[in-house]
Amino acid sequence: MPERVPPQFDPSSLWHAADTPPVGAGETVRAVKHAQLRLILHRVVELGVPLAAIALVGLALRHASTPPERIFGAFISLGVVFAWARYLRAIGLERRSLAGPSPGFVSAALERCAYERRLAIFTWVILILELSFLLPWWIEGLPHHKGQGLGRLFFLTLWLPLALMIALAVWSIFLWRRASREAIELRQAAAELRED
Amino acid sequence: MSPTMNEDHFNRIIARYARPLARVAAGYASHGHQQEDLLQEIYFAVWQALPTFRGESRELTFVLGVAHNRGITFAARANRREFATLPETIADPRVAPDAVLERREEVERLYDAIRNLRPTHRQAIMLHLEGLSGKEIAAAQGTTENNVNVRLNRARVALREALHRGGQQDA
Repeated sequence: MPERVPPQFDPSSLWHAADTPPVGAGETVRAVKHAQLRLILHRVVELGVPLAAIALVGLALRHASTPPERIFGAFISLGVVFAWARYLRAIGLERRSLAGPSPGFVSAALERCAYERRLAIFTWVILILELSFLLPWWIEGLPHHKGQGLGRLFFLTLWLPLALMIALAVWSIFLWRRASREAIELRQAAAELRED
Repeated sequence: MSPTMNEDHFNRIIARYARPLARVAAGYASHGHQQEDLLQEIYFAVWQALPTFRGESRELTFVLGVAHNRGITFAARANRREFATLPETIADPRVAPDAVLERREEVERLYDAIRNLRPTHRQAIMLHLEGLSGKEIAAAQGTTENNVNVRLNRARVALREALHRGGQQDA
């Protein structure tokens, strides 16, 4: 059955009636600056998070007393690098799909969300492993170093690892929640884009 | 493309297509600050996608395609399917609504109706209103021209009904 075409309904005049004032040079310069700053921020996060994770593993390795522990720590570091490289690949795929058809872009965005969730879970696993390794050492070592809470040793072996772990935990929880919510909406968008 | 060339190209694009991009933002985000946020996201997306533009399509088609894709993910992140509210009419009884205010309300109703369309219909009608051909819209949506025509017809029906309902409520 042919679709019924609304006679003489053309919202074009209303659509173009909402024109905003012409863009001045100031607006374009501001847009460029914003875009450049956001790119820098993205690069900082892309580099900072894996570095923080590897630094955490490195700090824990300072307490590693046996070769198997050191090998395990090195293995975890490699795992972090590999996981992060895969994540950057998913982000890159989404960026390259930006200018393409919407169904392909939404698929890439969904894949990026799925990878973000996996990355968050991987971070929790690492944090649990780190905690299981560091906690007994802290509990055993703290009574022997009373009064040295602000010293360099404490900073490197307690405060810094603790701060990094909390930062990574907060970041990964935020990542998982955002990715989960976004994935629900994107799956609906993907289904709607396939209809008609 | 060198960074300087990219910046020049980006400057030209923003200066040339700021209005269509602002209209895309208004089609996906209901409130002023959200529209501003989305517009910044669109600018950033255009900046990122620009090195991939090889002239296979019109520049307008490329820019609007990027903008709509960013609009889709923005709407997903914002997790909003709420209805926009019309701006309140002037309470002062001494001031009668003038033609400008009425026009503005009509435009708001149109955008409100567009935001409540299904994503495929919304995207199709917005691209159509910006002057893209059926073939270009089909490429942007990854579908056939026949499908685009169906989506446009359904969007027009939905918009006409929504605008008619809105007009009756104000009467």
